[in-house]
Amino acid sequence: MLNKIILVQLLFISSLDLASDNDLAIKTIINDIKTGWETGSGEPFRKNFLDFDGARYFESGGQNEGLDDLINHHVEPEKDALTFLSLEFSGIEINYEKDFAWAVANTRVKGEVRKSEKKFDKAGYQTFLFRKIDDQWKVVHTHSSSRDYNPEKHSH
Amino acid sequence: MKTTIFKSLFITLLIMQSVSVFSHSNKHEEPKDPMFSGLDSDAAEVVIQFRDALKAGNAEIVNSVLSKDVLIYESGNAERSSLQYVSGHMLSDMKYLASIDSEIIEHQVKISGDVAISTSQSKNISTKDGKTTERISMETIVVSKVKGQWLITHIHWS
Repeated sequence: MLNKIILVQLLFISSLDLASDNDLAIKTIINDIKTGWETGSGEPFRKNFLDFDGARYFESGGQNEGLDDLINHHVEPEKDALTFLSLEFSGIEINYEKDFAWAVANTRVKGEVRKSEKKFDKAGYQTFLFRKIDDQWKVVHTHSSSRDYNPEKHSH
Repeated sequence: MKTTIFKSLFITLLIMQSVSVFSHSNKHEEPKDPMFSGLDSDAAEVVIQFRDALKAGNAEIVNSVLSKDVLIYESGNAERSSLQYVSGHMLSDMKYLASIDSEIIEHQVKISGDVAISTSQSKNISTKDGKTTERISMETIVVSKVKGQWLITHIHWS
């Protein structure tokens, strides 16, 4: 009986370890993506996104088709178009289903447009979808949406 | 003798022709449209049912395909259960969808085990005071197989 209890406890502990390993891996990827956006670098995207035909990345009523499109027409041009960009992900929740995971987060995006010197401050939500391939989590889809920050409404 | 030879020749030609027609039809199969894929799956059927029910104002069907703990991101708001959505934003979504012409521009559903990802883009046309407005909306839906039933567990609209 005691052996069974110990075995159940060990299995429970090992499942917690696995979950925390996966959480850590996914949160590291999300942090890499944040850095990629802020620095206008495609490298974290090439490292962590699964490049496949038909990949779609949505952002507030628009989309990029494929990884090259996302990097070449969205991530990298922002380096020149914006004086600065600050992106925060908070309240990250991760759900797993075998080799699939979806993560959601609150977002806060601040920046300044170089040409117009117009500053923006937006809050919203982000969805990341992942697949585990060869023991590595890869982003297969993202969807972000945001609106002008409202301190009363966006209390997160 | 001659008749037998002609008969054999005729049958051979007939077989050759039918083989040629078969291979011809294979060669010219309609290519699959990459803008609309995976839509014949059970998971896609749930997404389509959900969308149709919202448009038709059928709350019962909407509720039946949502997981109880569904997380819905919509217009800067988050709803964290089917109860919260059905008793909250659902009615205004139904009213909005009934008042516009909506055309799905693309829709892909990919299944990975007990999870399916549905991504789509729609063109929404609304008319107010004689003025027509066109808006593109994006939809991400996660559908999960729970106890053998496909249910929507996450929606992100923008």
